[in-house]
Amino acid sequence: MKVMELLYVLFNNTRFMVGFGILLFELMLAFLGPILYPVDPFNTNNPPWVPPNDVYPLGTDRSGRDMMAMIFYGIRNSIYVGVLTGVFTIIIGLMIGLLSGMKGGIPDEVLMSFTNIVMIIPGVLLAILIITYIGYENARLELVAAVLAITAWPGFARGVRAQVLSLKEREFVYLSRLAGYGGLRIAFQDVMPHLATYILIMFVNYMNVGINGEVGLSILGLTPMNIMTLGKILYFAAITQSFILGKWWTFIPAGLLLVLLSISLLLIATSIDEVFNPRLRGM
Amino acid sequence: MVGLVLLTVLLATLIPQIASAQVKFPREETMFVTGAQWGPPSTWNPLSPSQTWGTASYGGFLYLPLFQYVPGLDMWIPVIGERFEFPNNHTLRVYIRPEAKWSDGSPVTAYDVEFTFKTSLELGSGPVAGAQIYVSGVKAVSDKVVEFYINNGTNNYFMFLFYTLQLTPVPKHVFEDAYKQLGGDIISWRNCGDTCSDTYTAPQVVSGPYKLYYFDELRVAYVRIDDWWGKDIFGLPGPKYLVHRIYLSNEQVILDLQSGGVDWSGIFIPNVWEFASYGVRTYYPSPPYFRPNQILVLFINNKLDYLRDPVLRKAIAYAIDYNEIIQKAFYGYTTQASMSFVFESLPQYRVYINETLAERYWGTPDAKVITNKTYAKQLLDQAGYKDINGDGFRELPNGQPLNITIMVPSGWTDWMLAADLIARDLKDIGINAQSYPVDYGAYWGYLTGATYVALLGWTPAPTFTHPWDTYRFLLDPRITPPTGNWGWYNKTGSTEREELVGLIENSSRAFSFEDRMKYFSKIQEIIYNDIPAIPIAYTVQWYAYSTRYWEGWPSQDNPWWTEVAPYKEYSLSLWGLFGIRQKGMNATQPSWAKPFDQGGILIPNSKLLEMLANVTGQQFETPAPSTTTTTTPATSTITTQAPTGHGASSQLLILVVIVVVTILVILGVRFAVRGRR
Amino acid sequence: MRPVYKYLLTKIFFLVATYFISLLIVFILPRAVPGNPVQNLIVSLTTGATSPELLNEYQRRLVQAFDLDKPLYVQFLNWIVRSFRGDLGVSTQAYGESVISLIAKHLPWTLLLLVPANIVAWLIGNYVGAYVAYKRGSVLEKAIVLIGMIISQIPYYWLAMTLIYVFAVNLQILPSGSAYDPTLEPSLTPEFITSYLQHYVLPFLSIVLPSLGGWMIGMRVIATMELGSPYIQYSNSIGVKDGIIFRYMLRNSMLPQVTGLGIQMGFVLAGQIITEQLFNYQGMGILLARALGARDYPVVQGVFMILIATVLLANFIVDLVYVLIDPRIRLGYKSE
Repeated sequence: MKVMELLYVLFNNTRFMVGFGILLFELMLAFLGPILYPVDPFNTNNPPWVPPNDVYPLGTDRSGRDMMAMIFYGIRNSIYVGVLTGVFTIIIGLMIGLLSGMKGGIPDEVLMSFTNIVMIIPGVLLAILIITYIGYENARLELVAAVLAITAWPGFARGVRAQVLSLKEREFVYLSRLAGYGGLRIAFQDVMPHLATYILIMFVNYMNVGINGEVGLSILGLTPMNIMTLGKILYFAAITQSFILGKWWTFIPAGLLLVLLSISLLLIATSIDEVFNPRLRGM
Repeated sequence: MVGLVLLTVLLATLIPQIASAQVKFPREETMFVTGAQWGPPSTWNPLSPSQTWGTASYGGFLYLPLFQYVPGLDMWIPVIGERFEFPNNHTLRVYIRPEAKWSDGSPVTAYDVEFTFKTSLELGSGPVAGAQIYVSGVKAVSDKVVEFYINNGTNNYFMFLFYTLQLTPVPKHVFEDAYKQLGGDIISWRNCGDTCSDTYTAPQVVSGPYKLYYFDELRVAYVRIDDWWGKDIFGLPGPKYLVHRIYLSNEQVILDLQSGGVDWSGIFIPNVWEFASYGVRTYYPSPPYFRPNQILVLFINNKLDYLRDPVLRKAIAYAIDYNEIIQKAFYGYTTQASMSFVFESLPQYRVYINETLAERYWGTPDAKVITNKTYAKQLLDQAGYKDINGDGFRELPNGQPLNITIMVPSGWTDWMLAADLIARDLKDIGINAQSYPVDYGAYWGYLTGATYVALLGWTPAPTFTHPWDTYRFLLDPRITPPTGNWGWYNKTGSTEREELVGLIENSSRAFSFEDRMKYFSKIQEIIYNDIPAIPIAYTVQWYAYSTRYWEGWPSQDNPWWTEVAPYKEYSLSLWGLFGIRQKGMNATQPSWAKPFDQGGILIPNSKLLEMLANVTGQQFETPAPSTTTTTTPATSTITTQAPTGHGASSQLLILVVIVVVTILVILGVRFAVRGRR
Repeated sequence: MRPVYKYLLTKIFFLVATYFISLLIVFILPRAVPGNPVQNLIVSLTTGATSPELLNEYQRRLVQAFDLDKPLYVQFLNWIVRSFRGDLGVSTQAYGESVISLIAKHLPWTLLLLVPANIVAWLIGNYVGAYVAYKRGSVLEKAIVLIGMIISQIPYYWLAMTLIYVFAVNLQILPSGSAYDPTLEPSLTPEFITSYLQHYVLPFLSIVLPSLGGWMIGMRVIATMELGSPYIQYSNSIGVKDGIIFRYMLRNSMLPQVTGLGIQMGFVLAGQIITEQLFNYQGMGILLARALGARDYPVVQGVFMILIATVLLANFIVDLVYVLIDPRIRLGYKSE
């Protein structure tokens, strides 16, 4: 019941619909695209650097790979990384943030210091280390998402903790305490539901972080070489100096789709926020 | 708040830089170079293991060697040394030019040479580090005469001469005091004169026609010494200022090339023919555009037992489509290399290929493998590499899976594509393969640790002992990466190993063509049987020049000089500058750049070999020039499959379909949700 | 106030512990990855004609010079002790150049680019965000929100590539990279300053635009919530002038944004690796990228030592501010 109500409100919200629509469009590109256009994105048997024409709708890149095929496969994998990053970040961040906020005292200090340390460690260094250690043949998108999540969860954990800290002082928590409920029960019954919308919004946000983070790692050459993502497309454009040589089709369409994807996620996140936060209604 | 603090820090650090002296380079007198220095400048000290371009080990403009071998001409330039002789079979006597002086006026003497030699040995760094194995001693016989003595234990003439003839002396009257003060730390002494603060201050005293003028994070600048001691012998180089612009990556260089901000470029340029409209030229106006430099080699790890099977390696050698790699990955900039590892692209080396052997093993007189995937498949079938588990790829004869990962430094796009193509070629014959780009630092780690499966690497540039130097680098089981033997090649039996080492050692004492060919033929046979590595193509000397401000560049039309990349070792890149003049000043080919029997001063390498043969009691005759032409590949036949794209109309159709489906889904959801209400 | 002192002390203790552990990690990580600085130096010598014995000697000598043959804990302690004396070591690539002087040469360029860019983005973004919050419901607001949302999601490296392509390659009206024309040297002449500013435009834009969007939409949300608060509504009802209300709203909304800026600045230093690479700007990003690739341990360690200290400091200040302004958190500590 509640879910249907929720969906109704959301779908009547213009901003949500726009965001959702764009996301859906990209998802369609990702799933229908390869079916309607069955080209192997890694096939280098085409002439290099062909501008968009009849045969190659979006041209080819320096190695002769078909840009359109690269984009279709790229969107799919980029979204996948985004989703995974969101999931991992939420899970880790929730655990630590809840524990830290609810317990307080020394556990809180320890966990927060640990959070600080992880936040300080440059993600770049960590990414290089992990990916080189595991070896490129074993590198997978899941690993990329994991690395991104590792750099992202401290921010989320702190946010959760801050929310928990102020929620902790609310009346219903005092009541539960008086009633003798243990910490765990309070955490799940009283605190979490109030965090639900926050979590949902953050999930979408971290999906965005994941997608953009993957682009960052790809441009540094740290993602698996045999998996195509939007970031990989930009990486190839960067190292083959295509943008300097004026081969715009190697990076502009991919970048535009990336921006659209990010915008759609942002719209979805803010519209959910708006729907559930009455003070933001009508923005 | 934080911003204010940072701003103060910023100003504090910036002001000293702003306050420094004004430096400007008049454009017509300055030659802007790029591609030889990719990191911040280190030292200008020939005794240091890390030298900035322009010092001695590469781009030797400041410190010159006694003699300089030029591979492209097969000649020696007598630089600081005037001539040499072998009074007996264990001594090399060098006569230093009477005119040779340091930039502070004091003469270059045999004592400088002696000092350099002894100090370098002690330090374990500098021009003769590690030479004690081959050189037993040095002695300054008089002011201008110095003698070197071969180490009778190893009696390796080639290495002996490699260290002694090309030795770069440093000024004793400056370096001796520095060494007393700094001891072993002299290897990090920058020797920058008055252009920087250093652990020990002394004026920069050089033997070459340039000295250090200025440097910062972006550039290193050298200024010409107009009363250089060699100007009556060699003339003066054209540019007054030589400024190397330091970039982190290629992109910026390309843009600067196009806008005329770079004169002499040593970088990789994609589609270089598109740059002709900007006035950018290469050595050859048509393919291959560039001169060869080293050999690009596919190393297959010999330490892994299952990879040692020569049949597997032979199949791989036949599967690789060399022409496609040259055309697609390297833009046609190069030519295929020979399985004999002889640098046959330079005519004087071509004679060292045993053509009978080459015909017998590979069917071509120059041992260049002709791609034949059917034959490769046959070989594998017969040797028992079958696909047992039906995954589409062959397993090893013992049933274990086979997966070949080809390691390349990531970011080297042409090599990455070459590895991709090789992987695809291997897949075509049924072997599971992928290219495996890794971060540059890690690449060396895997190589030195022998933890790679296959790896794209190189052999060093050839020198006067070629092909001996390449065979040593490739096969000597006593050396390991990164100093050599990147394939981790070793014989399994100890007698065979001894034989191989014996071959390498003995061939360093053979000077007549017949004797050398005896050894080289045996070595080539070993290579053809074991296939320690597979040569793909030549790497090239990246050389592109702009004719906007300077003329007289060495090129096919002006071939008096051949070592043209700015990063060439020792002083090789310096000499080309002597024929270059400002635009409109009528550049001519320097008269000294001819063999001495034709009016110049160059010494042919064959003369050196003849002298060695004479003093060691061997026969000598100059080898007959090779009569067979190398197999030129058929004009580029890239096997492109049928184009895989769809027409523009179908592209539109796809988009329309997607948009329509999206809209339908949205409408559907809205109705469904509304319906519930 | 004893709880506050206790709080401060625990905070400082954990700060120092965090720093020390981070330094340990920064020390170990580059050494755990394959490759080492000596190999990188030797390798460049193998392209020319060379001798294996020479290379072996060099290798031996360099390993000695860089202390790589000493046990790890000795190297670590040496590093820490020397750093306290102000000696961060000598770079392995730029052999002979001290890490401190390298950082000093690169840091200004990064700061000169990023500090103004971030401050400008912050100022403009916040002001515009507050302004449109004030003008709720207008067409202007909707337009600005839309623009803000779009540009905040543009990855700044893609923007850099596009800007270079459009302005430097296609239109050729702006230079494509370097901090200034290489025939000039840093000096206070008009010639240099013009060249510097010319080269400044594109990198500046590529950072300002995406950040601006972010601040703008963030500020708008905060400001709108602020507008709903009692004191604003009261001021409005008693007829206080619009401009004054706006200023109060602005000031109160700025607070959370200030802390955001503080944290942002901390990451500013090393995070611009890609931007600097694309624009060939000789800042900390390039220094770090080169050092990582060449396994230049002293430089990597030195840069991170400074960077981590800055970030920790920024976060410490932020935490302190949080405690001082949000009574609910202080309450949380009192109740123990």
